Parts: sequence; structure tokens; C-alpha cells
Amino acid sequence: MDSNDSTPKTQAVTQPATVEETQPIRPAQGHSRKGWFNRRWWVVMILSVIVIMSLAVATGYSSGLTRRSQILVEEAAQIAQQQFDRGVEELLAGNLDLARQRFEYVLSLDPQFPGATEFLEEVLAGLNQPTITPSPQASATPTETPDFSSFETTFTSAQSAFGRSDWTTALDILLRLRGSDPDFRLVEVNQLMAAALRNRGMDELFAGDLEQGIYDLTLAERFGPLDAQAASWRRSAEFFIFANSYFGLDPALASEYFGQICVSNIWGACFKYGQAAREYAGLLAEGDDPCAAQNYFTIGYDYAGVDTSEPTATHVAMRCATATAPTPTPTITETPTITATGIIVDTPTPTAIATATPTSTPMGPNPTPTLTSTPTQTSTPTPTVPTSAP
Amino acid sequence: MDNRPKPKRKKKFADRLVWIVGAAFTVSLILAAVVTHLVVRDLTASYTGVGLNPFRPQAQSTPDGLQDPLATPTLIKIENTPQPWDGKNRVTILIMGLDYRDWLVDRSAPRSDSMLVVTLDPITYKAGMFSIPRDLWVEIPGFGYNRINTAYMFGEAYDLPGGGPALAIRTVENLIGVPIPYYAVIDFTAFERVIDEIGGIDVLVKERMKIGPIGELAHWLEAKPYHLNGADALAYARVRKIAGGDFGRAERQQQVVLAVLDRVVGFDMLPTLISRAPALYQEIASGVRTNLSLEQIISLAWTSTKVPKSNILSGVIEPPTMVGFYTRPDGAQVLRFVPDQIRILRDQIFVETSAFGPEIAPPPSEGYRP
Repeated sequence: MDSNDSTPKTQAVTQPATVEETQPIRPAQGHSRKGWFNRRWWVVMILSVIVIMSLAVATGYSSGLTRRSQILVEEAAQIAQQQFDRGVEELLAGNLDLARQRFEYVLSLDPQFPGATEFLEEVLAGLNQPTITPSPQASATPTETPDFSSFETTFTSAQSAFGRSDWTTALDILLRLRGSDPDFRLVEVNQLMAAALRNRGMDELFAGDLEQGIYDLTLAERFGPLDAQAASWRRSAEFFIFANSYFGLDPALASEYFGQICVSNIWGACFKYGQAAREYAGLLAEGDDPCAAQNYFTIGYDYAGVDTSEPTATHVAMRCATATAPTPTPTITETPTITATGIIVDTPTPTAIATATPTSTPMGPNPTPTLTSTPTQTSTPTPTVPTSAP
Repeated sequence: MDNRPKPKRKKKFADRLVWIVGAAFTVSLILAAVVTHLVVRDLTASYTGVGLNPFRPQAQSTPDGLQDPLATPTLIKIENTPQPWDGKNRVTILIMGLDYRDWLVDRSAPRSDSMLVVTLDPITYKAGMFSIPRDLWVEIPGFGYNRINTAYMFGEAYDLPGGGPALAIRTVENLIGVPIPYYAVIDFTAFERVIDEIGGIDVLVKERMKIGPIGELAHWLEAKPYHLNGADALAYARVRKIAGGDFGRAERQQQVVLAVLDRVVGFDMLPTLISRAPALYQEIASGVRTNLSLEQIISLAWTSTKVPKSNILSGVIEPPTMVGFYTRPDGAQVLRFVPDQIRILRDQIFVETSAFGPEIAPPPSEGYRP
């Protein structure tokens, strides 16, 4: 059968074969070729499926990424516009802090957003805060990608970030280094960590993020004692927060403590001093010491400007003036004047009210918060935080 | 002769069939490719990985740096999106539950019912939980002074960038000083579902109490170990009207978190849960609002199993040292925070466990054991 299969023509000459006999042979021969052929086709088909589906996935993913970024850009533009509009509303309503948050957010989404920088500067000027020089991210120079190829290059990247005063990046790289090899250049890594934490903490304190700054300085302190400047600023921040914890709860203590910090005029302490004093004055006004209330109202006007408590302040001033006025000498009217209509009109007795009535003009020079934009290092107060009491 | 055309016809037919099948195959392949392309494109386009922008302003370091940090005005840099967690840095999450009563009366902006700061350091293999009472009187950026649980509400109601979570995070950051890049706002229903999904939790009830599961009859729990389902676990974590009030409740919430970890790790459920993560994520997505991506959640869950239980610290801001009780002129009873005492607790949980230190201990030989 094998020879027959392989030489069908020879077989046909010697022994004529019927079609029926040859039928199984030819397809068998053809099947053998087709089988090989089919196998190849199968391989080609499977490969083509894999290739085409891979291409579909790859192009779909790529297209999806493009579409996602487009969606994000569109959403960001929409959100930026919404927040910008809300920011303008807040600005017009005098809610400067909220307006600031919104404009800063808009600029974070789009540093070139028309008008946002100008409005933010206006808000910051109103808040007496440091103004921005460039738009927050427009001028940001692209930072180099840290090289993590070896411990040494990683450490160099951290030093480079430190040199750029990019404390956070430096700390991130150092943490990565420490996580990979805790003993690598232990002393140098520790020194760099401590300095970066200290500097970031100081930056946070200057930016008004007090507790965040205290936290970083505390972390820095794990490596060794803080320098005098950092320690002094931390004490001041702790005292500010201590005073702030009484705000709205114990105005007497709040005004007392903020009054101490107001001497240094940092972090808007004087404005809070004015607010706390006014709140305390309101409480005193309900008691029987109108003159003390008047004093605190005066402090309030000096440091926090005019507000709705003005009528109360006027009333308190009148009471104080009445209480402290010298006993009026009784004026004896000899003969009441009789008018034509027969109504008796007393002659006016002397009072001190006119001279004691406060005007609506704020007595202080500046009704806005008086935060110094860049507090000098020499102005740092070092008040002692009283023993903590709940 | 008569028979010869027959195979040809068959062959032609077979060839035609091959061509038809081939063409059908090609068309099907093209269709499948197009559908795959569209599905992958839409999935990729719709999956953002993170939730809302947390809106966390950060002070940008001044260019002059070390010598004279005051030389230039301070710039404010806004971080658009949280830094992707690389598995190396400490990760800190503010977990908030929303006030059920606000949902009941259909308020559009609920207050946060509970606040729990959870932290995990993958270098030192230490973790911590820090509960904040909701009546704490604090300064809320842009909104003056109020209870801390109103921060979320203000952020939502005033449509601030990042909404309620962003303002709540900023408020808590200002309170404890620790950077909090992530948040998770958990709806009660989602909480119940998660507990049920892991088959309930085991807790030791320390004192007799009456709990009122949502949609069920209230019942008593005795002081003994219990296996609680989702509804009971939620009620147990929320009950306030027993000794300890809010502070005891905070402790119970931390107990529940640990019980969840016990369950997941103790029953070696993590691989199962991770394999079902996409489905689970979809299931609870409607009840959990977070800026953590699915990958980050899985990575966090995996890392948490490597932290020994003894390395998990927990604390509650509570009386008598850390808060004082005050009644405001309007009659509102609030809590004054005592900053230096809170700092002591903060330092125990965040500073002493930080990888920012002169040296770090070698990784623990064994992970979490219930």
C-alpha cells in the first residue's frame, strides 16, 4: 500500500484501476499535502488573530489615553471656569479667604487662566498677604528626573533636589534610599534629612501652616537639637495655636494671648486680637463694667475694624461716660419757662455724653488684618506657652 | 469521463467553502478587532484611577533656600492630584463616615459623623490610627470657627474645589500637622456590604449596650465576644448613648477596623479578595468616595498584612487631658483642643514611627497575626 500510495502512475499502467479504487488514494495524497497546508494556515490564522487583536488593544489603549486626557482637559477647563466665577462672586461679597482658595485652584489647573492671577493678587492685597510674583506654576522649571540607577546616583539626586531647595523631593528620594538600604551613607543621609525637614518646616511656618511646620521641625529634632532660630519660631507657632484654641470659647484668654503675639505682628495675630477683644467686649457689655467693655471695643476697632457691634459699643461708651462722669452739680432752675402752649421745658443739665460718644470711624489706622508679609527673624517673640489646661 | 467533472465541482465547492469560511473569519476578526479597540478605548478613557482632586495647597520652598528663607515672598503651589503612592512613602488617609441623620432629613450637604486618620509606613512597618471627636472646636479655613465635623459640610455646600473631603483634610492637617494626601468617605451601606463580604467580624464587646441596626429591631449586646454581621457591626461602631459617648465610640471604631484586618488576614482572605477586587470595587464604588486608585487600595491591603499587630498604634483625642468641655454663649457644647497634649499623641503615632529618623529598625520577621 505504501508503494501504491507513492507511485500511483506506475500502478495505473500495470494494473488498471477503477475510479473507486483510485479515489481513496488521491484524496489521501492530497490530504497529506492539505494537512500540512492546513496546519500552516492554522498557524497563520492564530498568529493573525493574535497580532490583529494585540493591535486592536494597543490602538484602543492609546486612543483611550488620548481621549482621557482630552476629557480631563475639558473637565478641568469647565471646573476652572466655574471656580473662577465663584471666586469673583466671593471677591465681590468680601469673602477674601474663599476667593483666594478658588483663584489659587484655578491657577493650579491653568496657570494662564485669564484674569485669575490679577484677581488673586487683588485678594492677597486685601488679605495683606505676600503677593505672588509669577503665576504659581507657569514659571516652574522642569525638575530633572531623579536617577535611581544606583544608591550613589540616588543620593546625588537628593543632594541636587536639596540644592534647588526642593525639600519635599529631596526627602522623598532620601526615604526611598533609606527604604532600600538603611545603612547607606548613614551620616550624610541623616544630615540631609534633618536639614531638609528643618527647612521645609520653616517654610511652612512662614507660609502660615503652623502645625505642619511644627510637625516637620519635630521630625527634624529626631536627628538632633534644633538651632535657636527654628526653636524660637516653633515656640511662637505653638503659642499662636495655643491662643487660637481659646478663640470663640474663652474670649478673655484669647484676647490676652493674642495680645501678646500681636506685639510681634505675625500670622495675623493682631487681627485675631482685635476680633477676640471685641467678642470679650460684648460679654463685658452685658455685665456691669462698661468701661472695660469700651476699652476692649476700642482694641477691636483698632485691630479688626468696624463691624456690627458698633451700636453696642456706642451704648457701652455712653454707660461708661455716665458712670465715670463727675457728679453733676445740680442746676436749680429758678423759674421754669412757660411756653405759649403751656408745656414745661426743663433747662438742659450738663452731661458728658457728647464728648464720649465714639464715632463710626475706626480708631485704628488700619481696619484690615495687619499681617506683616515677611516677618523678620529678629521680631520673633518667644512667649511661653502656659501649662496646658483643658 | 462522466465522473471526472464531479471532483472538480467538489473541489470548486470546497475551494469556495474555504474562501467563504476564510472571508467570514476575516470579517469576524476585523469586527472583533474593532469591538476590542472600542471597548479598550472606552475603558481606558473612563478609568481615571483616582477620585476627586484633594486640593491641597502646599507651601513652595523658596528658591534661596537654607541661608535666607525669608528673602523672597512665599509662593503657594497647589497640588492638583495626590502624588501616586510608590509603596515606599508613608501613606496617610482620612477616613470619614457621614452623618446618618443628615441623610435621613435629606440634607444636601451632610456633616462627617466620624473622622479617623489611618497611617501606614512601609519602611518601618508601623501603622497607626488617630480618632478625632466631631465636636472639636477648630478653625475651618475660610469659614471661621466651628465644630470639625462641619468642615465636610461647608466644602460640599459651598462647592469648594475638591468639595467636602478637601476642606476636611485641610482642617485636620491644620489640627495635627501631618500631611494627608488621601481620603475615603464611606457610606454606611458600603460599610455593611464590606463586612458582610468578608463574612462578618469578631469583636469583644466590653460593656453591655443596646444597638440599633439600620432597618432592624434594636437589641442588646452583652459584655462578651460576638461575631457581628455588617448591620450589627455598623450599629456597634456608631452607638453613642453609653458611657464614653463619642470617645468610647471612637475606640469601638478602631476596634472594628482591627477586627476587619483580623478577619481578612486571619482567614487568609486577601488573595481571594484581591482576585475579586475589581468586582468588589465596582460593588462598593457607589458607597465609597476616595482618591485612592484600585491598585493603591490593593497595594495598601497587601502591605498592611506585613505589619505586625504590635506595630499598630492607636489613639483617641479624648478627655481629660486632650480636650476641655466648653459651652458657647449660644448654648452649644463643644470641645476645646489642648494643642500640646494632642501633639504628644500625634508624635507617638506619627513621629516616633516615622522613617524620618537617625536609624530604622530592621523589618519584622513576621507580618500581621490576628
